[in-house]
Amino acid sequence: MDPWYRLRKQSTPYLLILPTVVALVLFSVYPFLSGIAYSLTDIKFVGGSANWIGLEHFEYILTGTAGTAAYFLRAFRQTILWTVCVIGGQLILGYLTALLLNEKIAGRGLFRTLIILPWAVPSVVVGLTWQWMYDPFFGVINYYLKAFGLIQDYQSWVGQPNSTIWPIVVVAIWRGLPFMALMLLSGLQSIPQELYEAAKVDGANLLQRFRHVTLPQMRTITVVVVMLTTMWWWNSFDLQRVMSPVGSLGYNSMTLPILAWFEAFQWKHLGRGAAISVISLLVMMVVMIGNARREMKSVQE
Amino acid sequence: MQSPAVRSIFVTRPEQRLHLQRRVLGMSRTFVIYFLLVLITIFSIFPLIWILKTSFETTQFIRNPQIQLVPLQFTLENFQEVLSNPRAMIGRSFLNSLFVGSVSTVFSVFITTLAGYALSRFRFRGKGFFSVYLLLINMVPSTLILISMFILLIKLRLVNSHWGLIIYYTSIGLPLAVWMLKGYFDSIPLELEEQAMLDGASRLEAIQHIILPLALPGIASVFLFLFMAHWNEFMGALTILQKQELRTLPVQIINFMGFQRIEWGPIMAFSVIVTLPATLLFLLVQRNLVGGLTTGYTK
Repeated sequence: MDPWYRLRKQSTPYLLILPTVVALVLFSVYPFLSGIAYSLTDIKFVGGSANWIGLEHFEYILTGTAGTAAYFLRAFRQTILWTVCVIGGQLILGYLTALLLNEKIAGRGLFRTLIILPWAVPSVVVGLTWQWMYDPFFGVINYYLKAFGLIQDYQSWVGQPNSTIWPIVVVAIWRGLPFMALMLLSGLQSIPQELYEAAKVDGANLLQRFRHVTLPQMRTITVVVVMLTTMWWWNSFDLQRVMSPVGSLGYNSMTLPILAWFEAFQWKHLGRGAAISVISLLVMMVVMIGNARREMKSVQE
Repeated sequence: MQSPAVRSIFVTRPEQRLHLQRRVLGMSRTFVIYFLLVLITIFSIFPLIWILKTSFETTQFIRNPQIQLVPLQFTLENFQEVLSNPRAMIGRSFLNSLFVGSVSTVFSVFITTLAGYALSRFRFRGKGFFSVYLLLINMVPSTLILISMFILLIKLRLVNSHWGLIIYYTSIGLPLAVWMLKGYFDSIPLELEEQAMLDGASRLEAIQHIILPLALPGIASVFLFLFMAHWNEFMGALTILQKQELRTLPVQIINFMGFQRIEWGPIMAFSVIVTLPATLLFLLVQRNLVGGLTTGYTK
């Protein structure tokens, strides 16, 4: 065959991905790698000098006792707590929602649309709205909690230096429910109906069918969704930024992305901000690779 | 459970009783399903109702210790306030958002359609690596990307320029877009294309006349998905655009809030204006959107 024809044929996929690869290299790979490099320099603000200082930032962050370093450990713990609770809550509520929406009942299209609507709301608006609902004087949440006797007095839930992270966790669960529920729902819908019929014939009850048919069939999609959302919510910024005390530092509910952003852009210390992000990335990588390994093993078994 | 009355009236023979029992059980099951669905739906849409309610309420009743679910005194004054207050700059930031969102989305969709097609239809060296990179890049904190992107944009003199933000949006939107588009192309049977090529069409002709028309709904929903993401993005816009006249809507709403004692009426009216375009688009495409996300990530 004509060698030119063959070459052209083989090069087609590469030509097609070329623009994306170029864009990725320039705007994703390069910033990623140079970000890691900046974490090893003392660059403070753009235009300032960037001198190589090795692991000094990392040493400062992990062992220091003053300034940013003093907040790092707490922010780190808060980030773990935040991610575990947000993903856990989304998963439980998402499964429940998906199972309900998978039932053949009248009006489920309407329920589905209403339940996924929060997805479209800009995260800044989400933060503001919940902040208003949590308002310590005229907030609707305080009003109903008191009306139902769940609290004695109105509380200021968010925006104080000593506010806990829980009210924001609720918001994040609300925010992430549509995505979680829809992914799980499409997983449920792809389970062959015959499996359930067979289980029924074998006399399995509802709970047994869930345990032995639904869960194993849902394994792949659950793992993928959990991995993806864990990466997203570990790095989430908007909600915490909007619902936290303005400009103050070291408040109780601060997470790593917030700390890194403040360090880099508010206190003009780009190198150290990059170092915080790199530590956060390394932790995520260890978790993800460990997870992927375990998945591989269980698939092989 | 059956009540004794029901039993005494309707049930005489054992098999009939079993039948009725099943029906009652089925009915109570349906009831539980509806009950839970309604609870979840209330949880999901209550904040949205609250945005609307507050935006049409007068200040007097917003600051009312007695909470009402509907506006006591329906008013448009919050919207008038936001639209006329020069500090809100809502028209300007609306145009900014529209410009940045459209340009970055058109660019991303164009190049990722090509890549998604290649990933779906060809085997080539490096494909596995490319796919894994697209998935794992989600792990990298956007603060890290933003820090070095910021330094790069300063060097290119693109900070405080919409083009700088467009570049940043392109970089964060690409991976997901490629995955979704690959999913859409995967759902189009390969045979269609092969048949056309057997009939003497070139690959380009096959793509143009058969694949593109079929993939168009998918491409459109990726377009709207990305546009929504760019329209709503906050951190990059907050960092890269520091001049007031360049700001996009999500940053401008925070900025507007910072000027005064917090008045929730106008802020919620502003929120309605920011949220409406994205929500309408979303309702338009939600069905296609979901299909693309799931097939892209699980196959």
